[in-house]
Amino acid sequence: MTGLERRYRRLMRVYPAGHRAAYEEEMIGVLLSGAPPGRRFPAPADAMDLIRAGLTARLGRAFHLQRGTGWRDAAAVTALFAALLMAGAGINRLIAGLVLWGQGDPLRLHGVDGLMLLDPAMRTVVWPLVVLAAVLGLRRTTVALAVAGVLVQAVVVGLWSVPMNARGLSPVWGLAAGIAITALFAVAVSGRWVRSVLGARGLALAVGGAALAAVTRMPALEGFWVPQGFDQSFFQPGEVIQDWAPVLVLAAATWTAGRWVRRRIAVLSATLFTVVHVLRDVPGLVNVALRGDLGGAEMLSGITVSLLAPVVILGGGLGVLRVLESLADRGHGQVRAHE
Amino acid sequence: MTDTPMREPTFLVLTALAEESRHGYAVIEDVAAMTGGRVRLRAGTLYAALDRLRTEGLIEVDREEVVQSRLRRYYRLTGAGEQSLATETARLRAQATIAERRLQGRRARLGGATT
Repeated sequence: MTGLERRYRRLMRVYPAGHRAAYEEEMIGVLLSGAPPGRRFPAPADAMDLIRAGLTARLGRAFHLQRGTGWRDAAAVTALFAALLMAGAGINRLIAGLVLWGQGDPLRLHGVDGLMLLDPAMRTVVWPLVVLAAVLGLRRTTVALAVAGVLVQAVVVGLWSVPMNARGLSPVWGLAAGIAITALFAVAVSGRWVRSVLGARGLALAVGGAALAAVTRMPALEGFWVPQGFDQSFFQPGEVIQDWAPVLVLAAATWTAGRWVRRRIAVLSATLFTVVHVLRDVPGLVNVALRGDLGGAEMLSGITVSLLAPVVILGGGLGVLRVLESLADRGHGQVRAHE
Repeated sequence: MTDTPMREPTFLVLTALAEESRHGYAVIEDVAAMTGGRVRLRAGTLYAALDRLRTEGLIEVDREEVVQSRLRRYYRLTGAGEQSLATETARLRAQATIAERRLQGRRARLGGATT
């Protein structure tokens, strides 16, 4: 073996093993046939071409392996859950606002009475429509309505940004959630109908989980459900009821989706939840820093750590999925080849 | 088959195989000759195209030979590959015809304006 051949073979390692097994000998023959006599090192153009084509083959293979493995189903379900929670949050805030309005609060914003109600009213209209379209299987309509939801969330950010300086960034989480929901529904547009993934019972449980999250977060209604003469704090829903019970109900809703889709839903949901959680925290952090209670360096490090959290969650989740799938493949004696 | 226009290397590889079955290096040489040296396929690009075309069923392996201890695999066009090449050729011809007609019209207009 000449030095040139050895160097070409070294470059060929950039290809996936399956591709090398199928084409390496042939390609080496072609590369050596095209090399002028006396050449000792691969031509830079040939080397670049091999690296580019090899990496493309690797990426293409990785994409091919992921196709049809439930990501579209998981995207549809995660987007539905998030849209349900957005709908619940909108309805929750609208009812709370109407109660305050009834108690004589003008809910004034930008000098206009009742303008505060515009925020939850728009959200209460758009997100339930997104959910309805998704449940009916109108996939393109769902994406179009989700885009409308993003526009609504952008208007909400605009409504609050002027009078509240840094705290006005608080509704940014809703805009980010809206964009994520739209992207997930767009990914799922050529996948299965969400009802066929979850089943009727799963859908009912999903709606129940979102309703539970919305109802238990309705502080304006405290006085309505606590019987006269009882200690109100005793009836106040705790973290377990407000957070974990809805999560458990939503997890139960995915039961019929199958193990692999369920795991993907868990990864996507955890990432989306972290994004929302982080974007709710960051404006608060900025606000504290603006008040002078936090140094600039501390604020920056806090923001950096917060923004990295979703990346870590997604990367970790994908890593765990990959390990589990490799173990399952070995368990079934499967070998994935290039061709 | 899709409505997406074929990329040039793919079109040239199919054209090279339309006449007779060829091995990889012969495809490179034929494409260079066809295009007057304008296109010289490199091994990475060629085998990416060959792999994709095999997966899509447009070409297949005709035979294998060992020449000077090196594997030489000959590829040939399949029926689907012939159909695909014919469709793309018709599309390119139709576009070229439109371009030619418009150029003639333009030259006639400009010629009329200058005289």
